[in-house]
Amino acid sequence: MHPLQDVQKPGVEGTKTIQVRVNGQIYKREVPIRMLLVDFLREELGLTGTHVGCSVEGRCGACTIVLNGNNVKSCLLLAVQADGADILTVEGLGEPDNLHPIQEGFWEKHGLQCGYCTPGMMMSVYNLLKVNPHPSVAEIREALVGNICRCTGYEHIIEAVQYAADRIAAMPKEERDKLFSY
Amino acid sequence: MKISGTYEIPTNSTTVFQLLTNPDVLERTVPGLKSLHLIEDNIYDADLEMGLPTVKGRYKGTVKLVDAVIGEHFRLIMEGQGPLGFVQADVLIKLEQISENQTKVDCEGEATIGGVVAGIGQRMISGVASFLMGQFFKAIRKEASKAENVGN
Amino acid sequence: MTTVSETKWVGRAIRRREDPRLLAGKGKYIGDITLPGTTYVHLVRSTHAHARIRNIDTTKAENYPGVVAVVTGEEVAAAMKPMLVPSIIPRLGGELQIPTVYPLAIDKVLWVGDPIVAIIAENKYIAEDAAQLVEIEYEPLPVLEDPEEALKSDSPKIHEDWKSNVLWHGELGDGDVEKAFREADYILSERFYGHRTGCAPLETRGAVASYDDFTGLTLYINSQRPHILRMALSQILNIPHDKVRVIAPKDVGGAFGTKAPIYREDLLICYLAMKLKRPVKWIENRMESLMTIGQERDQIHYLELAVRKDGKILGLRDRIIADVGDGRTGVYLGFVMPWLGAAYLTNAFDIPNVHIDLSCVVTNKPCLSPSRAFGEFPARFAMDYALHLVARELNLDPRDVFEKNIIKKFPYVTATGITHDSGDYVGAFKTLLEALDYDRVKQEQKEARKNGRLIGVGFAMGAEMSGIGSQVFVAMENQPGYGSATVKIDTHGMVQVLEGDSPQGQGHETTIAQAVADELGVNIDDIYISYGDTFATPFASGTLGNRGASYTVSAAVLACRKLKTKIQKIAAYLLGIESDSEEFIFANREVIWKKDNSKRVSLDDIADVAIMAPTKLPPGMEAGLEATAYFEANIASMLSIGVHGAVVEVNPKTGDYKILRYVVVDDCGVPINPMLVRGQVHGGVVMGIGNTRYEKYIYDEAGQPLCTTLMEYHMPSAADVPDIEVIEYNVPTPYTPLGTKGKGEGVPGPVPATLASAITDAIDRPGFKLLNLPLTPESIWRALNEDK
Repeated sequence: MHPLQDVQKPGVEGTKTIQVRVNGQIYKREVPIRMLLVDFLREELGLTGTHVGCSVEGRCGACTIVLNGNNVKSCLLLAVQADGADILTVEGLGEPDNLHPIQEGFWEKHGLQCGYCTPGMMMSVYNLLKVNPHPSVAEIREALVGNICRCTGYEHIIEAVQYAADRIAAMPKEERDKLFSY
Repeated sequence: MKISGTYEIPTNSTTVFQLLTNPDVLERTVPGLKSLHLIEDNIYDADLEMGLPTVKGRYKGTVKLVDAVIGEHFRLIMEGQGPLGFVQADVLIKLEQISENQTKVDCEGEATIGGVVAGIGQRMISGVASFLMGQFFKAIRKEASKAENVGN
Repeated sequence: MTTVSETKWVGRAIRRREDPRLLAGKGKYIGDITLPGTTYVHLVRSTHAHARIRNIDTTKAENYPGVVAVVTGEEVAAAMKPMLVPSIIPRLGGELQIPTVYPLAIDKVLWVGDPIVAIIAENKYIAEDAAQLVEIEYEPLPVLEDPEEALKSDSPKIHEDWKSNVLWHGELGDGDVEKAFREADYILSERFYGHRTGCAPLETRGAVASYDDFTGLTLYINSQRPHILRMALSQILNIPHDKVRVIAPKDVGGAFGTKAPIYREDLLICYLAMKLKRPVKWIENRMESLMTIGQERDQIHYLELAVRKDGKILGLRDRIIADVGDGRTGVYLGFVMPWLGAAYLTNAFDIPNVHIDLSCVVTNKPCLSPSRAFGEFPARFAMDYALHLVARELNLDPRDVFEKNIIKKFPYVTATGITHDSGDYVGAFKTLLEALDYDRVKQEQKEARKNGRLIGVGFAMGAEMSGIGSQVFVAMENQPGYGSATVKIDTHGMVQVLEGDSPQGQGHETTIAQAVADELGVNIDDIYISYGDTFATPFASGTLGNRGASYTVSAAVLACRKLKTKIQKIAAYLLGIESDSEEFIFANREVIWKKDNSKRVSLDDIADVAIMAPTKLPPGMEAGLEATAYFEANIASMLSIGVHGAVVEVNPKTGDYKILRYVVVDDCGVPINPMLVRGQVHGGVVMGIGNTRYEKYIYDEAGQPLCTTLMEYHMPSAADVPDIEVIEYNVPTPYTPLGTKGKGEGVPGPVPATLASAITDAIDRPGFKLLNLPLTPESIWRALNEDK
């Protein structure tokens, strides 16, 4: 069933109880029906690593997350549409003292400046490397069309992705699979 | 934005004129027009909903009918304002009866759209406008056939 | 005994210290700051480009559940002075007409997006809903979109009390221009147009203000200039300076100049917090942002060059007409950018005779706000592309025309009064041509042409400001140019650096620490950098104009050196050495006597004495270990050079072009962290490519903005841009303690002339010129088909 069919007719005041799994943790919350998923993550769950760069346009990519295995722009979904979903945000990728190879790549290769696009960018990289462990430069560029970075000019981001791909390729399979469990 | 179009209506020019200047007919035929009330001579209060699916706006304003010569031509000056912006249009409508039951309608004018709809939809809006005009004249043609049938 | 480590931090491409928190999603941006009891603001903005406001009906909005207040222009204006107080008005000579500005429109709107009504509600959804209920009646006025129209004496006046629509008019230059033109063998005369584009940072503007009668006003805002803003707020709102605290968040999502002005919304948010005595939060949405900030570069050049037949430029005349929008944004008034663009017009070239006439004209568009390359983008396009046109006209190799005109002796003062401090511009230029393999590309071009492929090579120079010293800055913006920093050694022997400028992605926490680590002989992890809070940091003019590596870092170095004098005295005393200071080496967290390596004290012990046990200090010495320094270079201004080159292939059928190579040869004096410098150059070039090819703020004839989403305002994605090659060509400047210069700010500047000259070279048809930006496939196709 399409998630939209679940949504009751407007009534902007209405609320609905949803349950989501975010970064492995289950949350049950009553949310206003019209609350955007990105606002739910940021304001209800306090996961402010997911950013808002264009508010309901879906163009900038700063709010990109992984939802049921797919990259989605969390500003283009309502929280109620995510009911039952399994979500990965940047906070679930790695901890400062135990970074995911993608995060390490961005750090090592200076793939970020202001850091605003970075969480969303890394979510797109996550799904790229999940399906394509050895992307070419052209494939990396293509995979990142939905994420705008205004600082880096992308050069170091591409190096970061290559670094992460190499790191991951050198790992045993079980470890690799653990890195991409979403 | 330029507005132009030529349409043929299967009736004589006097009937076409009457149809196009009759608020009851317009209320039925103008896409998005919710209501039209005469407030003074040739000036109407209008309530219109218009836009693109994501940025539909409700506009309240006036429609003025000027330079009218029955069966020949008239000018419509429309102004609407709403929370998402405004619309203004000034359209000259010329009628030319090309046969007993056929009239050519020539529309030529300028429209200005402001606000959110303009910002988001400008590239699409002229396409939307000609689509809406097509819809409108299709409805008028129906009205004309109805009038012809009643007349006969 | 450990040996003295000579490892330097400056010059190393180390990973950034700010990154772990950003990578983990733990950055603290303005959007992440919410105080207890926060209310949310949404602004109702004008849908007309020029209109009188007949009536505003806010009744329905006020009655909407959850709305806290609805505020209109007069109320806000009554609570403050007109925003353009004297301390933030530039003093650049010429004739300046100053608009009266309040946060919200009163009676009249001047552009689509002009803020009219503020809705404050319990959450942002309610505020947006209620905004739809505000009814505003407008009486449309004639719209002025074209600055050349607005210049005409019979044009309606946008600011009714002005004598014309010219916000600023003035002349720049020196030398005998008439003589240069009399003696010229050839005169190039063209009209160049730079379109309205600029920088849209990924994070929009935002502010959170709170107020109580005891602590006063606290404003969190992603400003590039918290100290300047604090000063202005105090003056405009009539609040004592001690009751105004501005705090820039730890993390700011890019700025590029757009967060430098004093905006009307800044004052509005403060007023609302004072009125409501509740915290007020405003986050600009993308549509507002694209309608309001980051628009620059919009000007026309009527440029004339007096040229000798060997390609030497004898003189330059330019009449510039800049479209500054409504001119109501504080500090810059939309005209400081065109002014600086004019002052820097002659770029890296030695042109002794110059006359520039600059008119900054108001129109019904948003006021220009600074955007990376500050005024230089259209000027570099006109100047450098003109040199290529000269070469084509005179049948000379553009390489020779450039070389003949590039500044060779330093310091060099341009006819417009700009000082080039040092460098090797010719060397950098030659390095670029080598890197491009210029001669081979020209050969390949001929071969390719036989096969119907159009390849071209082009290049341009960019002398970018490297901070601006007080000599220039005081006049330009009524503000000091010095860099400032406080260095403190704390009770735990850790080093705290407080800087008055706060960053927006430049990496200050890394670069300043690298410089300080070397000075004090400590590890980079012993250093923590504090910034953003005007109650804690020394006054400074803000993070802009490449001030970081040139001025702020230098101030931190000077503060360390002041501190070192005291530390050495303490060390000598503790070691019982008779010694003048300056006889110690700072390494491995120790202070080591040069004459005898075994005589050494740890920095921790010195800190312990100076802070915790002052009784052990030399008699009479003041306790504590901290110093503040204000750095001013001993020269009017410093510049750093970047030379850009590109090889392109053009499809003459469609006008589309592909950038096959893009190379930058770059000088930043001494790179503190070469990886960060490269990042700055990559980002600057890509922004330049975006501005040149993809991005334009388009207005229709009624003044309606047509690019209010990122779909219409297309900032390039990774797939839209080529690889950028960067080659270092560094010449340390003698005017900063470490030889460092700033880098990054001016990088977009040379891009349009680089691409235009490469495309022109590829087309290689007599009379073919690209005089109008942007350079889209369509504009190239049109140029190709017009001259047929």
